[in-house]
Amino acid sequence: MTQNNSLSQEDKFYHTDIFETTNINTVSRGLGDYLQSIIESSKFDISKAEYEDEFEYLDNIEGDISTIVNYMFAQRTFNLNVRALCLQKWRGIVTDINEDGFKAKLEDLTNGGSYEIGSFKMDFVPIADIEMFKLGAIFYWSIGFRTINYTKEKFSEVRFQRLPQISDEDFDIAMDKGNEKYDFLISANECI
Amino acid sequence: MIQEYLYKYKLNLVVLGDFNPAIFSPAWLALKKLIRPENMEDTQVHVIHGSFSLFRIGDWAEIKVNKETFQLTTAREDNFDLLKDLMVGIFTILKETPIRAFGINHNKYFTVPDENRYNKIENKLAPLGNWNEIFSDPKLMRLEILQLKRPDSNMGRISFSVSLPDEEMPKNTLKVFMNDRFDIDDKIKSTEKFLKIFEKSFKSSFEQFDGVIDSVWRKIN
Amino acid sequence: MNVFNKPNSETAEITLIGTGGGYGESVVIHLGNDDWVVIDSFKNPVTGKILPLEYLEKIKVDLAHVRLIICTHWHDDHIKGISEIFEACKNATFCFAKFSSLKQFFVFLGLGELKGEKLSQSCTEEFNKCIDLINANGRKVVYSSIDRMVLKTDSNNGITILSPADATHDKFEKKLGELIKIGRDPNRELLPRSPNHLSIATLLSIGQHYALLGADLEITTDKNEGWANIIENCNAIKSIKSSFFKIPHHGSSTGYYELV
Repeated sequence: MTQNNSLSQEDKFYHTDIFETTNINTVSRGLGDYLQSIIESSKFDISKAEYEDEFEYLDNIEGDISTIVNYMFAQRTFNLNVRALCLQKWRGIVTDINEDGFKAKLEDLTNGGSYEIGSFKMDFVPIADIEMFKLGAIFYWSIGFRTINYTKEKFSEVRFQRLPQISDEDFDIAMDKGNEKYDFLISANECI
Repeated sequence: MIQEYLYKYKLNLVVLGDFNPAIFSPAWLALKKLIRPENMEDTQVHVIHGSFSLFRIGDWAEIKVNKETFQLTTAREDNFDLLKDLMVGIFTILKETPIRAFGINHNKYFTVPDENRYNKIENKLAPLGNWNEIFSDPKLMRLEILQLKRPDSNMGRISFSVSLPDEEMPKNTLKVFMNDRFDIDDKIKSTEKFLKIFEKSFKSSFEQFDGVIDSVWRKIN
Repeated sequence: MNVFNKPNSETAEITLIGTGGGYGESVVIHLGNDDWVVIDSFKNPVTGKILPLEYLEKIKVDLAHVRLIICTHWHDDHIKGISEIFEACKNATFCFAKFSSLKQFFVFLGLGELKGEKLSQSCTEEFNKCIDLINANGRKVVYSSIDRMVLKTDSNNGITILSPADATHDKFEKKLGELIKIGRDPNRELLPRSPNHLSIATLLSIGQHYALLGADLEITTDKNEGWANIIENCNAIKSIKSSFFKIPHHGSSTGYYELV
């Protein structure tokens, strides 16, 4: 299996890995013997040209050498073997809350079409999202299969939407826009 | 249909602009309530630095930032909408960030059940018979098609490729990739424009990717 | 009779689209002489097509002959696609309820615009687009108020407004604060809550006939609101009998008022 070695601007843009690997060519450059030994022992192989392209700026930064080394190792330790594929996804809105649970309007994100109303017990809401649980709250519900380190399991995952609140500044802008529209509507338009 | 051979679906969202990587950390995301408080316990931080930041939130999102590129990645299809929300949330807060372009990058890995079928697909995509006299046992490594003009009114382009996988995968796996790229031409309100286009285009990007895959599959079968 | 034939100029026609609850409701009315009215709008949940517009196009109505578009209230199942209809029907006047807190309501609409694509909050999005059309293109608007005839054709056919009541307007002003609070939270959607007193019910007069179109108006214990207010206080319905009644609120029991 071979990998893409190109480091053109386009590839930098859409490849997830900042470092690409090829075979052999251990390189040391201006980072000291410590770093060199780490590179040699890591089997994190890159060509000289690639190293110069990516590492040159490191020569000019002051920083804890361990953080730089961690970064280099990141690629090796970062690829956690987790993947999940969904059988079905919904976007839900909490429409009613009662003692036993709640009802939600469910929009089918997998197949489209019309919505359904579902009834749920309170334990459907993850404890970590309780603070988000209100009337009108939006959540995502997915079911499918997940594989973590080669172990496959079914999952049913609920997560409530988390977007930042509208800031005071933006609220003022909305208010000004609304007022402007209203004033224009009332003053400028012919009403029958 | 080819979708039955799907082994993995990885979504990578990339933004090109001017960033300060030191800002981005699990603590900052939790402070801004963009992630669950419990995710703070479950992060793996590799680097938070003025030149680059790199950390993972639980098992559902990877964040990589350098001064020019901001990336969010997940291989959990159930979290694609959350990734989108995270992107929107971050740049709603950092609304003065100069942004030049962004990409919605789809990576689907299909594991074909047997080598014969795999070879057939390979040959249909790029007839290798032409190369038999030049190379012994030629194999397809990568086929990329570029569309320079977007089908919508946005600036940018789309590229689609079929290649060998770029990570460890079962045998007879093909990687199908689409880079859905959007260029932002507004220098003053670039973040606002980015968010508007991103939110509007997110869903249709998936539809487009699946549409292309289905079309290609139909043509080669 | 083929339902997709355009009625002739002497035939009045009321076409109900999608009633039955769930996805939406719209009423398309031919008042005669190629004068058309559209009340509310919704989209086919599968195809995404705007159903009243699709109907008009199917029966080959010149959209320039649509005289009036009424937005009875701003709930999702009555408003989706209404801005596109308004845009397409270039001669149509837009009718909606004007109330004392309209200015504050526009702040709420502004928040909706800010949220943009984050929420599929059709009500604010559609309403905003209609207001933008009015402001930017000088399109006409008429406000609903009780007993007001918002359209009268050359042949004296017309549409008169029966609701919402003044008392409802006052109560809504108090609710707006809560709406704006929800509007400020991008993680929450607005929910249509009963009772639906803000809905515009209308009386259609065509020749000697009358048709009562109930929209989503419901009953209430307060005699100054809902159907009770119409029966008690509307002059337009006094001493007339309707030939046709479009049952309110998708047939829900909350829309049933015996005295109607």
